[in-house]
Amino acid sequence: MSRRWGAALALLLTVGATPPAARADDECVQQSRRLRVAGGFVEGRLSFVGITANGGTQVGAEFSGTGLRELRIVSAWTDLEEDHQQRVEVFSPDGELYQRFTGAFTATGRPLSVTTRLPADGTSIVDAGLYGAWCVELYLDDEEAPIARRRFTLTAP
Amino acid sequence: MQGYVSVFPFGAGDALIAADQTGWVSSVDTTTGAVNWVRKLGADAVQAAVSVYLRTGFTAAMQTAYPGTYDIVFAATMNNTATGGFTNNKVFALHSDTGAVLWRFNPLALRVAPCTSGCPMDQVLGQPWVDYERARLYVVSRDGSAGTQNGIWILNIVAGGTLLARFSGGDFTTAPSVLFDNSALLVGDQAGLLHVVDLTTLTRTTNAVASGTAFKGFVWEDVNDAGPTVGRLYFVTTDGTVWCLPDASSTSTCWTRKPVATGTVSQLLPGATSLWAGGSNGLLYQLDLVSGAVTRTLTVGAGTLSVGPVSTETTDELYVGTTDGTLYKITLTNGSLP
Repeated sequence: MSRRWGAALALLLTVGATPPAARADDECVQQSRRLRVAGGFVEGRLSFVGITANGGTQVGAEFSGTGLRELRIVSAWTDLEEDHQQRVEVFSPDGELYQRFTGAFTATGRPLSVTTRLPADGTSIVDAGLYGAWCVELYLDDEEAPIARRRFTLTAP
Repeated sequence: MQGYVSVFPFGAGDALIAADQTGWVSSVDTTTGAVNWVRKLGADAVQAAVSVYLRTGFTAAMQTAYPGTYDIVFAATMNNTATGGFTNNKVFALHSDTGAVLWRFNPLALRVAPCTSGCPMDQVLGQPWVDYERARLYVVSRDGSAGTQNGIWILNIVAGGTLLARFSGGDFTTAPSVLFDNSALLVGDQAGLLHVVDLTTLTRTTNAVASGTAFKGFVWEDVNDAGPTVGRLYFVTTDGTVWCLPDASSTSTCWTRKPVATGTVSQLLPGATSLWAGGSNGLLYQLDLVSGAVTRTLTVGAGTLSVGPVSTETTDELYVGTTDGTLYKITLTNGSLP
C-alpha cells in the first residue's frame, strides 16, 4: 500500500449520526416561545456572534463562510431559577442535524446568557461546503419542543 | 468533536484516538470499545486530528530519548479566542499507553532564540505531520489577530519538542503534507498561497498560482510509480476548484476544474488514473488525472446532500459520508466509479 493510500485511511468523515428532527416551523424564525415552569414563565432567545479570522466580531444572522473561525450561539434566558440543562441543536442547510450541544447552567432569576461555540474553519462546514441557511433550536431541560428557533446564513466563498 | 479521529496500532490490536472540543484526548479499543485512557489537557479544545509517532519507526536517537514500549501521541490545541486563544496554543506529546504528558511545547513561554520574548501561537486546526526520518513534528497554525504571527512550526522531537524553525506570513486552517521524497513540506493558506518549506535547509518559499482562494484540505502528491502524472500536486480550494500543479514551484497549472458550477467539492482523493471529490450537490466526481476532465459521476444516496471527503481502505473501494450521517462504500471497477 502506498503512503498516499495509507494516509487516506485516516480520512474518515465525522458527521452527526442522529436522524433529523421533525420541525414544523420551516422558516426557523420562532423567537422565544413562553414556557411555563414552576413559579411562572420563562423565555429563551437565540442570537449569533461570528468570530472572524482576525478576531473581529460580527453580530447578526448572516456570515461569510470565508474566514469564519467560529460562530458563538448565545442563548439568553430570563425568569429562570435554579439548575437547568439546555440543549442546542444545529441543523445544516440540507436539514440534517449537524451538531447537538448540551450543557448545565445555574440561573438566579436574573437574565442569563449561555454561549455555545460552533467551530467553522477547519471543520466539515468548510470541507463539505455547508453554505446556506442553518437552523438552530434551543431546548430547556427535557422539553420536547424548542423554546426558540432561529436561522443564520453562511454565504459561500 | 469537530475533527477526524485516528486509528493506530496499540498492543495486539488498534486504538482509536480522538480529541474533542473540551480539551479531552481519549484512546479507545477499536475491537471492544473499552476506554484505554482519557486525558484532560490544559486546553479549551482540540480540533486537529492527533498524530502518532510509532515506535517501530523510531530512529536510534529516538530510542535513546524515549526508552520503553510506548508510542508518542501529539495533540495541538484550539484555545478559545475569548481567553487568549490567538496566542496561547500548545502542542502536547503524550504516552500512547497511558496518555501521560511527555512534554508540552508552549512557544509563548519560550525565552530562547529565536523566541527570546516568546512566540505567540494561534489555533491549530490541521493534523500535525510526523517526519519519521528526521524525528520532527510539523505543525501549522493560524497567524494571530493581526495576521503577523508564525504559522509554520518545526519541532525537534528527539530534543523534547524544541523549536527548530518557524515561519510567518500564512494563515493555515488545513494540515500540512510532505513530498514523497521527504524533501519539502507543503501547506496552503487562507489567501491561496502554497507554502513550500525545504526540509533540508529549513527555508520557505511560496507559490501564488492559486492566490485569492483559500485552500481546503491538504495537498496531495501523485506518487504513482510511473506515468505522465508522477510528481504532480492536486488540491482543492474553497470555491470548489480542483487544481493540478506540475510541481510545487510551478507558476502554471496542468489543469483546473470546477466540477460543481454553483457549489463546492470536499477534499479529494487521488488514485492511479483518477481522482475523486464529493460535491455539495450530492454527486461524487471522478476526474482524469492527466487532463482533469470529469470522466464519471455517481449520485450518492438520494443526491440531495453534500458529499464529504473521500477515503479508501484497499484502493478497490471508496468511502464517502453525507451530511445525514450515512457512510457509503462504493466499489470501484478497474479503478473507476461504476
